[in-house]
Amino acid sequence: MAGLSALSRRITAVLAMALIITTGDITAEMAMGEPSDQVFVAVDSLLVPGVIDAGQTVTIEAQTASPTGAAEVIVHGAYGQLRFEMAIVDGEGHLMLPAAVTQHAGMVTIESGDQIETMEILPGEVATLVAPLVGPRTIVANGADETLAVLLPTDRFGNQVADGTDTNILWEQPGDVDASASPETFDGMAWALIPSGEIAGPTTVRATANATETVRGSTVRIDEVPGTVRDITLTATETMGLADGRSVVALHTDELVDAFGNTLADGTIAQFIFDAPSGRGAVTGTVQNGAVHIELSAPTTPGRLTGYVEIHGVASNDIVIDYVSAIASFDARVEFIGEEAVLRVDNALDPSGAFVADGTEVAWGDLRASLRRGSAEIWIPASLVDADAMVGILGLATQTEMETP
Amino acid sequence: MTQHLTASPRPVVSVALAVLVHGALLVAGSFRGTYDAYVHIFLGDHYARAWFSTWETRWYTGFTTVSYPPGTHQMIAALSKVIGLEAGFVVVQLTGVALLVIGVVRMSRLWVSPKAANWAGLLVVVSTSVAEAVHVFGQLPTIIALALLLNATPYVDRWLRTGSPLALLLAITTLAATTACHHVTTLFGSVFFIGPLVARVVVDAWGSEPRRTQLLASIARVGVFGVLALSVLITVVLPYWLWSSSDPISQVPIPHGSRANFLEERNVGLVFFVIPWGMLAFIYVRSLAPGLRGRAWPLALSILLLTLLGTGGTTPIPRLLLGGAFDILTLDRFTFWGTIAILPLAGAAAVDLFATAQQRRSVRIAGVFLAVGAIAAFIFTVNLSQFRPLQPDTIDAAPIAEFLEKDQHDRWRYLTLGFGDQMAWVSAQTTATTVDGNYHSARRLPELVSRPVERLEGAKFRGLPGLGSLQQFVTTPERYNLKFIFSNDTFYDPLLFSSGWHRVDTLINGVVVWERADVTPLPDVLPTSEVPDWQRIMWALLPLTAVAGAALLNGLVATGAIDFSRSGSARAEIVPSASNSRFRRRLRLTPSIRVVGALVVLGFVWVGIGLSLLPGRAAEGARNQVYDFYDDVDFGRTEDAWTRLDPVTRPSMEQYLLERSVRDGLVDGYAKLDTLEILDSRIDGGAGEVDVRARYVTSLTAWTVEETHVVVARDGDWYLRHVSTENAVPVEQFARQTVVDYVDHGRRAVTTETSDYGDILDRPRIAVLDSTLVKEGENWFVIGQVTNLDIDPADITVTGRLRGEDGNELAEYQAGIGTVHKVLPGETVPFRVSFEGVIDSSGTVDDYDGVFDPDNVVQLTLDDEVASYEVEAKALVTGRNLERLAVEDVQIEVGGGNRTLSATIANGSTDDATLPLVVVSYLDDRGEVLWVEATPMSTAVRSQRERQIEIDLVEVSELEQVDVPFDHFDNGLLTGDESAFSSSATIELPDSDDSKVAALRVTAITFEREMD
Repeated sequence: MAGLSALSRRITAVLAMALIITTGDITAEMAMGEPSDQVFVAVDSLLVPGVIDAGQTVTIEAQTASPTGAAEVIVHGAYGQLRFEMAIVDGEGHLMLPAAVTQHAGMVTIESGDQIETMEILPGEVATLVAPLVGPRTIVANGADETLAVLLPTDRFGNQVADGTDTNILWEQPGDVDASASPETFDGMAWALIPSGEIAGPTTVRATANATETVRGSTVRIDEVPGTVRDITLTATETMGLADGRSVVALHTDELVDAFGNTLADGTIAQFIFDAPSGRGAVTGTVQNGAVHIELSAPTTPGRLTGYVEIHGVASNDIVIDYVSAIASFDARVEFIGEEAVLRVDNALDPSGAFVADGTEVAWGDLRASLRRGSAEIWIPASLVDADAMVGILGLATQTEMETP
Repeated sequence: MTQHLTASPRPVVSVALAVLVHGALLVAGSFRGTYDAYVHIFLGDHYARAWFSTWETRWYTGFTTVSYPPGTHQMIAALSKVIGLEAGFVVVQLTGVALLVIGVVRMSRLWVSPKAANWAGLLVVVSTSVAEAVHVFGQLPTIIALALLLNATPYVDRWLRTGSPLALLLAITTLAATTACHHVTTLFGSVFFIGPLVARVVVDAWGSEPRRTQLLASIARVGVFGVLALSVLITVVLPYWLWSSSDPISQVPIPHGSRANFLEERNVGLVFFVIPWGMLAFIYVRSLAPGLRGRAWPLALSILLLTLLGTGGTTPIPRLLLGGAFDILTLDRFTFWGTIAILPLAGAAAVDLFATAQQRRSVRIAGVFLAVGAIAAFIFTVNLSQFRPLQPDTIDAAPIAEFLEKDQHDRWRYLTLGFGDQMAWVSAQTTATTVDGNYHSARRLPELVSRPVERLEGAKFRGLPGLGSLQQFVTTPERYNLKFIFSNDTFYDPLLFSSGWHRVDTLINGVVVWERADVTPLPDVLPTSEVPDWQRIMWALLPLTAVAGAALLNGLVATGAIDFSRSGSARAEIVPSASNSRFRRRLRLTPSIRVVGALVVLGFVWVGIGLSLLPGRAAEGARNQVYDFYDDVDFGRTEDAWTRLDPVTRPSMEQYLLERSVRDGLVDGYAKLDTLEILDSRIDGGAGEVDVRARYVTSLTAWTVEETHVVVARDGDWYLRHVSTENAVPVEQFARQTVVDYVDHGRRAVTTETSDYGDILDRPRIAVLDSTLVKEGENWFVIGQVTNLDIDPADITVTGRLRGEDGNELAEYQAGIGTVHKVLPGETVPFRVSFEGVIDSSGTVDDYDGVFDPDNVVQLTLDDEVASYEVEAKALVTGRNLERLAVEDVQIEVGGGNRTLSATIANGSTDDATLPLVVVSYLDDRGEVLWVEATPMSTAVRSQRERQIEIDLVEVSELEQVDVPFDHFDNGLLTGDESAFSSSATIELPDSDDSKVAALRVTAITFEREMD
């Protein structure tokens, strides 16, 4: 039993240690610092300078009835609350606040017992111009759009500078157009509206703080971009074509510019909207290098195609392309083999006498097949053959020749 | 020889074998493919990170961990500090298996001879139910808790018989540890394992002298034990009980295979009934019958009840017995307990078998059959996931964790898709949070509890109900701060693309990262709902203290430091009188009973196996040939499908494979065949046509395809006529194209600092042109169109809000499917906000049948009349998913009272259009949108090719335009006077009675499978 007792004690000790360790974080949270129970002497008067510059060393003087001891001084500032102890000698105390405590501009309250005094810390000269905040950074180069540049100048300690501080905002627009504004700070900020020019391109914005321009911020770039398209001229490489569903007609526009002659940005959507014998359609393209190029596949039904390009809701001139039939002739006959029937299409020829292109669709009622070297086959059960069904290729339709079952 | 046959395996050998066999499998990583292992590892990770926290923010937007007893998870957490999470799990699991062997032997000695008990211990080692629980299901708390419960039974028995305080202390301490690991085992397991002990002691007391004294004593001890057991059950996991009483589970029941009718769902029956019973089924009657006739009758009755409950929905009895709990409990647990409870009796049967085998050769053969069968069944079970993969291939979670950690990606929530249970392992690697989770009892988000889906990440396995739940999340990601989706399954691509998500990267582990732009990050401090401090301390310390206490006391007993054998009072011991003890009067089963019993069991097993192997339908006739053809295609048996094509006209095998390989799109690449229906067949002699309707499930919608197949008979067999679907031949052999491409560098400088001011792009200028509030039945929609006025492409997010008379917000939803999210400069696109309600978990959940219809939305429940609405559109610059397809040959056909739009969709680009989506805007005579409908195309359009489409137009006259005041906001500002234009082609409709719609605008966008 002695062994058991020893073992039990060890286990108990281990468990207790584990308990202490695992509950450590909770007890630590609960164990908040207690206020000091030291007794301070009462202060009869506090002598504090009314106004100082940021970063200046300051000495606070106090008079007490007690010849010796220590007085508690609490300084409330923008950084929060700091507590000092001031030694009292012969009824007087002197406390030097280090520069680190006076770097933050604003009102500071100094408190000792029931004595409360205030001190104002003034910001210093402009030392840093935080990069101009410009927004929006993309404006339309139409002479009417504008963007806002904002400065937040600070002294060497990061304090916002005093109201009325002179600043300069300078910008350089495309076409070597330089302009500037000289706003004064108000509530720590200085700002200016930058109107857009009429030439698209990058505009750079920078700022200075005084006449010697020794204090500068970063340069910010904004983009002046083209506006909506002025007009569109569309041309087609061909005005005639084969309705073969394959051949291509190239469409292209002249250079696309806005009202001020700026070339449209790449990627802008352009749609070629057309009416063809087989129905309406739209092909989507984008502006590339200032123009639109669209390749239009031929329809499979002969007839006239008319269409136009639309960008920004602005339509181009119409273009017209006449498509003629791409097939001259073909043979079609139905053979019956046992309980099945097969449609055989042969000699599908285009106007030049060559085979119609492989892959061209053959339609027999609802059934479909593709031509390969001018021929195609469609098999169905003989009982399902519709004697009236037409065979059609590229708009040319014919009745089938039926073999006697 | 005799000595050899009558010897029994020593428990220490059984334990060593168990550790060796199961340990090897676990160390080899068998747990990685299981259902639950990673969930327990994740919860272990929770305690490893914050032992005293009861709130886990990483799943379900936060859940309380007091919803599950922490014993096993805290053990993993403690071990993880030394050996890591996975190894910690392995050690705890292995400890559980070893304790289970010991527990079975100790429990068995209460019912059968020590020799039989030893055999029972060996049977645990090769138990298929244990193998399945450990290596297929990955159950940890169940194993540990049962092991502890079984180890408590000797103490309970001793207390009940002798009144030994030490026995009571040991029993209660061990039960406390059981509760700490799995309270359900204490609650229900006690009924089946301790209940029989109580019954036997009371009966023994009834037969003892003096009867009255003994009976009163035994009842008093039962009472004391019951009170104390209940006390520890409540105390050890008190925060759980307090939580469950204040926050009762109100969820649509999640279907579980163990509740199925095993005769109808034979695969499920195999997993949840046949495999767990394994070879025990062959000696079930032989084991149970002596038990029923002997002193172990309470245990035998318990086994019978467990067997019955384990049959799930095969008979109505479990539902009658369990009532409402039937839909909550997973009934495979009863089968598991049954297979353990029968082991003492099976051990006794094994002893008998060995004794008989000395005389009879046939019995020896049967013994060899059973032994070999048991080992084979064990091997089969532990390798079940190899035969039938239960999880996706192992995913390396490290790249995902790395992605979430870098660039502050963990400031948003994420979602995994197609990860299976490995999503829990991903979660354990990161502090980032997900809206999903893998512990469904803790779900409280109405969007989750209102659907019978266990996890969003496996939504497709719950069919349309699961996808309905997922759709809500991907459509309104802002609500959940959901920005990233890690997809391991392309099945979800259509849904994500259509809902405005785009791919940003493919990680080194093959997982694709999807992103939704313009989602607000999570606040720096997430709300938590910790339980009171006293409960936190209790939760952190008491369960593990209970486990440690039980381990200490049992260890002292095991080492002999506590002499348990001499505990108790002999004077007060309840000893069955000789006249009452039927234990020694073994039932001699007549051969006929044995034969009949064996035949019944064998018949049951073989009928089950036979039924599971029977083909669903005979492959005869044209219709069946069509069925089988679709089946082959759906399961990728391309060669089998080819053999069902007409041999006379079919292409060569190579040609057919080639044609299949170029097919892609919603149905061919992203769908699962749901149902196939033969609509009609017209057979005339040896040829004919068969009309079929195939219904496919995709992540976007249910897709129905109707086709007519020509069938022909050749030599008595039916074949389908092959129809080539890829006929077009591109014009150009080598096409070239210039495009405008974009790249957004994000942070230009390689730094971990906050993004530089100059790197943050302006929001593109956009303008909401017009909008309409539409009501269809009880469903609300906001329809409209937005133009991108900027020179940069825009990724737009449109939010609709309904407001009441007082300006109070009634509902908010975002535009999802039916909206073109990526907009080219100068483009006008439509949007549709389909307001969807969230089923209130406290109200209508019981009325909801859990069936999701993709064509319907969950109706909004509005507290007030809609007095006004808002449309807020915002945009970010994007360079992704800007591909557009040409729309040609557009014609409107009127027939049968319907109007159909037919068109040709042409892909002139150099990339395949994998998932084309055609968005049709219905415009009035002023060009304002009345309705928007998005229709996915079923097939891809390969590069330089085209496809025909037909879309049935919506009857807009059936929609109610609600005329109320509205506001439009562009990038947060009220729409100003900025002149906006609309672009895009329109198609004028032919004159009709429906005068509202004057024109249509058709926009065709596409998802490309290949990433740039």
